[in-house]
Amino acid sequence: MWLGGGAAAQQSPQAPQPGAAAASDEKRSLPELPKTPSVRSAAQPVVVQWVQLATAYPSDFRAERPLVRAGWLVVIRADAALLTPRSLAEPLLLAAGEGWTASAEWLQHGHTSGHRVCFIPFVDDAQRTDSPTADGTAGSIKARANLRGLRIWFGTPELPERVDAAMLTRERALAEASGIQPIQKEQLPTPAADLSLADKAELVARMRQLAATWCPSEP
Amino acid sequence: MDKQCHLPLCLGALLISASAYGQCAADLNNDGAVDAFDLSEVLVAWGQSGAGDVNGDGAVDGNDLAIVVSSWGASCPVGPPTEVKLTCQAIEVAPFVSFVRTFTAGSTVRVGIDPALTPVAADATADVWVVANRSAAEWAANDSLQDVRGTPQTIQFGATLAANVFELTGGTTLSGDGNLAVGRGYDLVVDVNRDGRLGAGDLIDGGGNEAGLWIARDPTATGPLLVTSLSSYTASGATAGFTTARLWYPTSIALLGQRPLVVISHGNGHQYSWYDYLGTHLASWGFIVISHQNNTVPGIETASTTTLQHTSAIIAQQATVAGGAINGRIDVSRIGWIGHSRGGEGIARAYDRIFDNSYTPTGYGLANIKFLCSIAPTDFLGASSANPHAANFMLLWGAADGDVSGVPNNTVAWSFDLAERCTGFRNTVYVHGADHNDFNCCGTNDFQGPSGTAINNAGAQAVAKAFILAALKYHLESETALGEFLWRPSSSLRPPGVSAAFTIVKEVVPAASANVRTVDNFQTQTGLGTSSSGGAVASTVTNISEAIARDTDNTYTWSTSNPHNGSIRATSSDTQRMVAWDWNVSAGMTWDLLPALRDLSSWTFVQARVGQGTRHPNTVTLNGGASFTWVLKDSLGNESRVSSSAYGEAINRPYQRTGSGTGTGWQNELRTVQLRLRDFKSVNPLIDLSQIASVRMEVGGSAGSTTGRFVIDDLQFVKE
Repeated sequence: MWLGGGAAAQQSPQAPQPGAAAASDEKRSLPELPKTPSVRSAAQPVVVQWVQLATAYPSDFRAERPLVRAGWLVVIRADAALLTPRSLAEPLLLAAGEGWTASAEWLQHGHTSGHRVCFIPFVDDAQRTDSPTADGTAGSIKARANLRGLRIWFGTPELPERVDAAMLTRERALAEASGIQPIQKEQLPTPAADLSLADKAELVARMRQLAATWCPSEP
Repeated sequence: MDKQCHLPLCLGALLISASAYGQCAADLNNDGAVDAFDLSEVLVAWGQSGAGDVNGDGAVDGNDLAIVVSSWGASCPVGPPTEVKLTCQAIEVAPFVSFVRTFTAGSTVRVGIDPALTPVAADATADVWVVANRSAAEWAANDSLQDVRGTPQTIQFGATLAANVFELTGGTTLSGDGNLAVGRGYDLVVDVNRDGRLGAGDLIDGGGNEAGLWIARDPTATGPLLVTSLSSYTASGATAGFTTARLWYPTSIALLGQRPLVVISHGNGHQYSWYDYLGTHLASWGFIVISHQNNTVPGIETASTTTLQHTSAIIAQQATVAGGAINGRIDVSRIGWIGHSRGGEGIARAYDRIFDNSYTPTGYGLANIKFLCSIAPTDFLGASSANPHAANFMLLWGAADGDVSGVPNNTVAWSFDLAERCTGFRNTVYVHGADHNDFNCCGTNDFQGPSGTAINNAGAQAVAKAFILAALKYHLESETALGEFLWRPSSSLRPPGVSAAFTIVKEVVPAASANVRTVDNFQTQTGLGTSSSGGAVASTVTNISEAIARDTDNTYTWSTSNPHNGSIRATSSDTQRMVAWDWNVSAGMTWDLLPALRDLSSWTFVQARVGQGTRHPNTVTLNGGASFTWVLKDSLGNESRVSSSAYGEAINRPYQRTGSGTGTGWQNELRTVQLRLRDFKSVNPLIDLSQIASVRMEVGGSAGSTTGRFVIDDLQFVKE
């Protein structure tokens, strides 16, 4: 017997293992990774929501580890082969609009559902977003993090923690050269109401909530 | 027999004394003779106990007198008993026995005595005692023999080693129940004078603190303890989104004292809940185990951070997690990290960060991390950052891994790099037919290999349970006999729960110490004519290359321009070097030993790592296991030859996986071939182990396979 949430359970060592019994945990084969970036590696947003954080956090998805105070919470739909977990380098999940390019953050892969919940942190390398004053106020960040010309795509396989500003520039150029087009306005979902959260922990909790809706079979 | 010696009974005792007790039992003062001094000891102590009690029945009486009289004039050995390896397995060719310490419960145990090494009188009888393991101090305090089987076994010596191999009566029923230990230790005594005591002239295997014989239970089997688990708890201070962990511990933890901590760090796309098989198994053998959410998506740095954080968290929160059940029970001085895939590299990175002083964990330090086990680790970071340094390190990897696959054109997929970087004790377990996610419950099916060779989750997890447990017990609990699981070939020692049909390729390289004498590791003196220890090297083999162990052309297709084809053990940030060569006729490679290295009389093994060169035409032609012969030559020219295959397993053919070029065969697989030096003495008693001038590896003709290509590293002598 297994009990969650802090309750201890005594069991015989021969007891069935919980993971093995879960239908969602059945083995799946490893699909070949499509070429990235390419038209096929473009992703379609199905949920968009602006999120503002009271406390900034350093992004693990950038080599510079800039402080993140706001960004777009997005659920994307994409080719499952692109979403499949791999131990070797996975395609970077990138997003760009007019005047910005970002390394999207994510928790779960989404291969079982075709959906991935991600957070596009707004990080202005020229002007860090860690200050709530002057140009760093939430409103102005949002203004700069516009969705005009939004592209979301899977780029070159690499560890996100190695992504730096120069790499973002290169990846954006590669995406444009590969024919990945901006998302048409009519294909962009209506953004949900802006959300104010305390910190990264609350952001993660919100992402897990969305994952439970869009990727229910993924632990 | 009555205490009082009446004449008829004394006469009877005289008649039976010689057979019931060895004559030298009567050498009471241990001066090498049964004489008036011994008679005096009996008479002085008459009617008392202790000194003079030849037969050990608690009284000095006529029976003791009778033994002295019947043994009068006998010459007896003096000095301490002789420590000698006795337990062995029978093999079919010279030296006909393989001396080993560890046996699985229920298997046949033999005792072997080589008269060339240990003089015993042919046709003489002696008693073999199996005694519960005693330390050296316990032996010094108590030399009386008590056989765990009830009675000792009487043997009669022959004139040769082959005639002196005896199956241990009741050996198959010896208990391996060592409570929390996987096995139980025994000391073997050949009581030559048959006096029921350990004394001069006797032979003992296990006279020191270590047992001479170790009977091990099946390390794949569930341990003796019930397990309590906590499906999730929240770790304070861990990265947001990665705070959840699972806990297993022995239900009877309150009675066990402090226990070692094992931390499991999963791989990318994996879950902390996918290692229940391992957590439960290890806890049933006495470990406190956690498996935590691991931040692998951004990369290895973040993964290492969560390993470091969760280790601190469980130490800090032990008073509250699981209702405080493990409070005060974690032995912080004994921590083992197990990581899978990116988590496998993550634990090496975590260790490196502490080593480099770039991260200071709370609650523990580098010295507390006693063991790292990376399962199919990635290698994103290279030598400067993913480095186990001098930690005890084990690599477990499946040859059918379709993810961290070992493809030659992507060094991230080269797991062996991490092992090669380790300067501590390291061993590798490479399993044919196992894929990446066979080592968890639920990952994608990434199997890449010949049809019919998959061993699936059950097979791979049996291997993982056995070898990780053995390594943990070896490194964290000083159950040293279990180390033999890590390096002996499966034909010699196999966990019963691991199929005999599995091909498991094992390497071991001990840390540099006074107990390791390296003849050649190819790291220095890089010219072909000189070993790293400075001795001359000569060879008659073909296409020899001593170089970085790196496949340089991104394909496993054989090419003469890529002599280390199939070696994926050194990225551009590594310097690991090996030698490779091939043969089609009788040939060999000879290492001369410098004078300072020649005295091997106190050394136990000669060993090297040897593998077949994948897809080389000779390997393809051989199409099977390869063998060679070790030849030791002393300074007087005496030679002794022992075949590498004498002990049961050849150098296996590489896993017959296709892809990454033309041909069949995956990466070069090295296995440690280890032979006891005394076996060379058994084969040729004239060889002088104190003056070994050279070591030669012979192939072709009668020496081994007629053709082939070998990759070789770490020719060493080691002490047991």
